[in-house]
Amino acid sequence: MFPGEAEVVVIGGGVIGSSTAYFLARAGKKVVLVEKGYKGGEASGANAAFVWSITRKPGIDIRLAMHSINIHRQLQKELDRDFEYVYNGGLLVIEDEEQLPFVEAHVKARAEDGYPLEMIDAKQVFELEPLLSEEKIIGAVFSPIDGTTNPIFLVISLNLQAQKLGAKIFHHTEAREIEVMSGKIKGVITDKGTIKTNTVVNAAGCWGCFIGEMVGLKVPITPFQLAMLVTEQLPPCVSHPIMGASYMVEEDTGKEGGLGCGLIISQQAAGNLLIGASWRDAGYDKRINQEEIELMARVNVEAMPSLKDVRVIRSYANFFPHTDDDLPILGKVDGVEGFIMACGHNGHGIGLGPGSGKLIQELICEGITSIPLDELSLSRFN
Amino acid sequence: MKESEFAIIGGGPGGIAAAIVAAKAGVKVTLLDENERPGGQIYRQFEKGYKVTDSKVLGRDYEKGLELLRQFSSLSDKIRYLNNATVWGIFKSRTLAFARKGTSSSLSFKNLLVATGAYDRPVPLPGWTLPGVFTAGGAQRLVKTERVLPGENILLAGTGPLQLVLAHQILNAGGKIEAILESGNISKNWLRILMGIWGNWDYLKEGWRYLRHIQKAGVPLLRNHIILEVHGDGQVEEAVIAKVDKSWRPKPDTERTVKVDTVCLGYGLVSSTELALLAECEHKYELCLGGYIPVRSESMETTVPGIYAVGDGAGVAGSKVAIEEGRIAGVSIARSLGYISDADASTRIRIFQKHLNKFNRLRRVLDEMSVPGQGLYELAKDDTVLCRCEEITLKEIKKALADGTIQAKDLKRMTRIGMGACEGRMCGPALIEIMRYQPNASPEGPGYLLPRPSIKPIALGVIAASKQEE
Repeated sequence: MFPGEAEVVVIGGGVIGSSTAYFLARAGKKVVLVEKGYKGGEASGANAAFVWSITRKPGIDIRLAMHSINIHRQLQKELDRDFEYVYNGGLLVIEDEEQLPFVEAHVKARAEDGYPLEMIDAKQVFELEPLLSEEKIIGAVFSPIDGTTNPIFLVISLNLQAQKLGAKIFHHTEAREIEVMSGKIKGVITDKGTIKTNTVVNAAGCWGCFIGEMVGLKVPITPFQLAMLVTEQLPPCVSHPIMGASYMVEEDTGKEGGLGCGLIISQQAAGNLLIGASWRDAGYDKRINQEEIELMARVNVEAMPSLKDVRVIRSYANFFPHTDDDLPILGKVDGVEGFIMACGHNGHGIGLGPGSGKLIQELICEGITSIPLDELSLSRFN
Repeated sequence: MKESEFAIIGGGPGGIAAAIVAAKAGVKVTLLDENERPGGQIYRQFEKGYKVTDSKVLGRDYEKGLELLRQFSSLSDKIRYLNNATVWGIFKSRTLAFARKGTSSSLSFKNLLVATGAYDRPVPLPGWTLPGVFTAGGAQRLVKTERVLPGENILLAGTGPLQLVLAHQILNAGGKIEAILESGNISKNWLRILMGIWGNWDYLKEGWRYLRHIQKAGVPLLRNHIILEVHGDGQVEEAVIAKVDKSWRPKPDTERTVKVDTVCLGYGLVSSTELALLAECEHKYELCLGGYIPVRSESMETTVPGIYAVGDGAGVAGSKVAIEEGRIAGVSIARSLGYISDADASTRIRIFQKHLNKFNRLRRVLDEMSVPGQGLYELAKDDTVLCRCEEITLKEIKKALADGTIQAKDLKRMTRIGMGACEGRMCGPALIEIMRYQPNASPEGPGYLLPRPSIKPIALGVIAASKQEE
């Protein structure tokens, strides 16, 4: 039966909305989650599957990442259904001398902020990942805490556990309008019925801007496409999430606009390699194009030559909610009491999502969060 | 990149027939065929070195196919034929990607014909993964191409006339058939068949010839029978069979066990629609035509302008229908490119359409008899593997369904069904049937497992070695 009221309505059934619903239910709140599609059906179900900290910047960025990694480990103990989270450490591989200054500057800045990283040489890289090309890789940054997960299973596990704790979850249920009276949230009108509530969490990812519009807010989120390839299942052969340092360079030189691609390789528990990734500005279009697939194949085969005989069985593309400063928008907003932002994770939703869910629960239940959210408020864009 | 005015995917009867009429009209045709030589599954040609001395082994349809192939090869200056070409993607820029000779190429097209054919309807039942269980098509390929019998004592189980063709071929090759189980209700419809095939004496004679051959060889044809389970220790040793009612559900106390070492399952065919789906052609559900098939106009054009679909890949109806549909598509494209006049095209399409109507009358009757009964998809037990690649059992599917998953693509996310190397070809059709019969099934149907490039496994090195098509 569709609920007529709730203490909190979460809009969005991806990893952020599902984590929020789980932690709220665990804290005893009457929470209803509405999702226009299916659990993990958008960016949460189609990404690089990294739980990652190496490239996170000093300041609030790395603090969110570290906090969320701890939450992932907590979830691994708390959730009944396994989600294949493993952490053997991650590698940011340096492919040429040009990348080196960017990487060194990042490592230095992180150390100064109190979050040091370890640089390793080419020999150590091959000991960790023998399939990487000796000609291509000159070194790497290693982080022992990084790992990979199964994003879809993570979202499913969060959903199931939240439901066990009393959360009501409705898929194929679209939020159409949000009722606001005298600057306060009063309810959410969906295509299945109206839910009276005083608190709404906007965890709608790329659609977060449309949910914001419903209460008169301008949410500066734009979609940004990222594509990946899936290979046939192989015996264990890649034991760390691997990212190319071109991402560091790209981030510093701006990656907007045309087609780009950087090395990404990891292996899922089932044995499939997830390799990528290419990106482009494609609006709300999930379709992958041929150039993207070819580019990913070239970049990855060059870095890991034995991949040439491995067969691709599928590809996927999705768009991530992008914000100008690459940071999520979390917390309360000015002018609409009871409306809480939890979107804009810039392609790091799987890594940061569980942490964000926990922080939003703290905000709702206790009014104070274990990491201050001031820097992440929507008003920073004004 | 040069644009092809007419690209065809598939070298079976539909693709070849389209290529012939279009090329004769002056259209420059590029035909991409996954096989070594044209002919598709039905007119599969032998490797060089083999010579067919007795074409009786192959049946009369094959002899007719040879004539079509002769015409095709006589047009080799007008048709660019690319063999061993696996099309692995169609993209919104009206290009397709194909792998051939260790590299991947891109071809842009103005008009495209998808003539990708069909494959055996996979039917999950206890023991279907045992060595010794074949699909009828797989067994047929062994007999026809490899000249090898699938086993020593063979049980054929399924429905429809293709079973008779296979039996005829096995007997001709010297094989022993324990029995043929026909789950459909043939005998009661005998009169309607005759009415349906009025004017189709060719078809009738052919069917009759096969049936006579089977009777003469003393092979029992058991109507209203089904195979329930296959048993064996690492290899088929016996099969459990039973009588069925109209819905193909076993009748009580009719179960018995037969000792066989080989089982061929022939429950008709399902369309290969991955490429049409990838091209975003609208699809509709037609159980007896092979599941979700592309919606088409009278000229065989799909809902995507310039993309056409013919033959079994657009609704399973056999090679004769494929040929006429191919001709209609070929003429329509020649007209749209301005090679032939509207009047000329209309005259010719009318003739092809008349042939088509004649075949379709027969098909309708056969379809009604052989449309899978609901009982077919109740054979799998909780521990029966539905998805072979990911080893997903029916129990896991039931659990996800009980959680309220009502769309096939969502079920794929929940359980990993269809995420393996076969990309859902083996589990997809059964999954859709199982979902359709759920009490909470969505009235719009479960939809399909969405294909994504590469739709066939392609080595990364092949894709990395991509080049633009000249």
